[in-house]
Amino acid sequence: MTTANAIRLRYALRRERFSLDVEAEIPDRGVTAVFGASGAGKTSLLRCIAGLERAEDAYLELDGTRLDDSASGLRLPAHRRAVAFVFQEPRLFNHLSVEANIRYGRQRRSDRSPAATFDELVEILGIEALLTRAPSGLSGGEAQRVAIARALMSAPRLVLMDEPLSALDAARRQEVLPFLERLHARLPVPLVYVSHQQDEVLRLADTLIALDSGRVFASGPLEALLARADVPGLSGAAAAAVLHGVAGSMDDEFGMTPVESRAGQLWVAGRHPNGTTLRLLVPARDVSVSLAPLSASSIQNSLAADIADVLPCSDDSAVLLKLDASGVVLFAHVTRRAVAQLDLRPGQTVFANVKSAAVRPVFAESPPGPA
Amino acid sequence: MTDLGPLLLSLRLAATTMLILLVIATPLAWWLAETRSRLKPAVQAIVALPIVLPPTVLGFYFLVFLNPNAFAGRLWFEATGSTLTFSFAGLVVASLFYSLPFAVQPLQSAFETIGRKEYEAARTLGASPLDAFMSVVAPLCRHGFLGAAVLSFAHTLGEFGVVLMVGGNIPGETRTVSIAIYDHVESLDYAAAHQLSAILLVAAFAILLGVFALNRRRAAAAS
Repeated sequence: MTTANAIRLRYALRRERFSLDVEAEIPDRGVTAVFGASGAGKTSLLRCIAGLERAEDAYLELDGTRLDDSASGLRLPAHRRAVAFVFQEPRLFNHLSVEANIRYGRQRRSDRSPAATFDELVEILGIEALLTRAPSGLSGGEAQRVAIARALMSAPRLVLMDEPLSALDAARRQEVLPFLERLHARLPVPLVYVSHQQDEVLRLADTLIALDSGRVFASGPLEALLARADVPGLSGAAAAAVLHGVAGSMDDEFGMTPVESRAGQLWVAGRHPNGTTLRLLVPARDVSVSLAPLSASSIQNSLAADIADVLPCSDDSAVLLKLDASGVVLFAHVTRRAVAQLDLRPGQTVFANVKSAAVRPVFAESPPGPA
Repeated sequence: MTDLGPLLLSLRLAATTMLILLVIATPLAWWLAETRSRLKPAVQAIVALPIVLPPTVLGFYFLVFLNPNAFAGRLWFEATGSTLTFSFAGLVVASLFYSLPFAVQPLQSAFETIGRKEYEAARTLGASPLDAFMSVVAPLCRHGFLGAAVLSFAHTLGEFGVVLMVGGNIPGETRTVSIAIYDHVESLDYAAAHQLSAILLVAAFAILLGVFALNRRRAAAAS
């Protein structure tokens, strides 16, 4: 995936509690998730990219400009990088109003044109009502949305987010995630998103860098890495497939929408306007298989698929079936007992039954840019 | 009132010292709050010395190092044509050392309390180190600056031993309030001593009351 405008990075860090050696090339659009267990140095990696921390070996190239190159002693100071950072905590400036916080970076980077106007950002993040408030009076979710707006308003050429939802409780996370999805669909700025949460990665990432023990375990487009079914944290019971589709005409009475994907038609919960591009998350846990299409069942989606592989799981009683539905990879997390009873083998044609309620349509995706 | 001179001189000395100290102590306190250098304990110890040393000891060393025959004293003499010892300028130099910990410590503790978080956020938003400090750290540490200003001012105002050693008792040049009070007591002029002492007492109380009242308002606003 070598493109003229790719972001190239290489960092080697040795710290007391971990060492990190990462080399990757990521596209200059969309969301790249850096995924791995906590305490693996993901935060330090982002801090190096932002120029807040020093690495023993560092190389960073953005838009064809080098920001870091330890071989030639180049290390651009943080404020000259135009790399914005959203931290785990909001880090708002308490002596300034919400609006002044958001405009802080814009005033300092008037030479660059921002990806979105103030009004657009405020609208996307739903913070119109907060502008005149003091940051100390905001809830955790509100404060983090303001911090995101502040970062994006600084006209960055790259945005870094370090587990921006980790300080929030489950309800607040669900409150902020949709805003991140809306951003993803509407902003042309590349975003590097560090997380150890499977659902955040599945919902937001286009590209994935999976870290394991301080090294790159695998990197590439999200679908390709999910299809490998060996990425720690995204395999076994945590395996999932991501499908892309276009909404058909919704069934208004029952509040469901058919989505046409390459794997076939899937009914998903919710009303989505005809023609919207949607990303569908299909967790392996919510897919079952049968030898014939189910008729008398509550299951709404039954897709013909070939068994591509039978993969072991860490849980001894279960296996992961890798399915090929017209070229699209799906996973089913099923018991070994069921596999034996149905005599399931690679190459066999089965029906993948997907519970509509489990399929999560994530967001209206912007049409992918010129590849 | 004959004692207006020493009073005004003390105020001038305290104000001058305070202003210069804010300029010197701010980077020093920021460095102390941020650094992981092995020099930090040594620097901290030097800054804190005036708290524990008898003012006469400090004064004695100033006399030794600032007199026109010593290196520092000679440089000053050659540059300005006047001596550092037994002059207002010498009092300012001595007061800078004497009151340094009272400016550094409130600032350092304010910087340590807010940490680097907001500073780093400002840096990633395009602010240079100085800009980030002035536009984010300083306003967030207002109370630290206020504390440093008040304490260094008040501490300089009450200085006696160092002044006596370095400055002597020259009216209009080095005769500060505390020296004047000492003089009055020596000459058994208790009425004049009372007058000056009462002024200092009330002024000190008023300043501290103001600071603590502000602190209480700040704490209430923060909670």
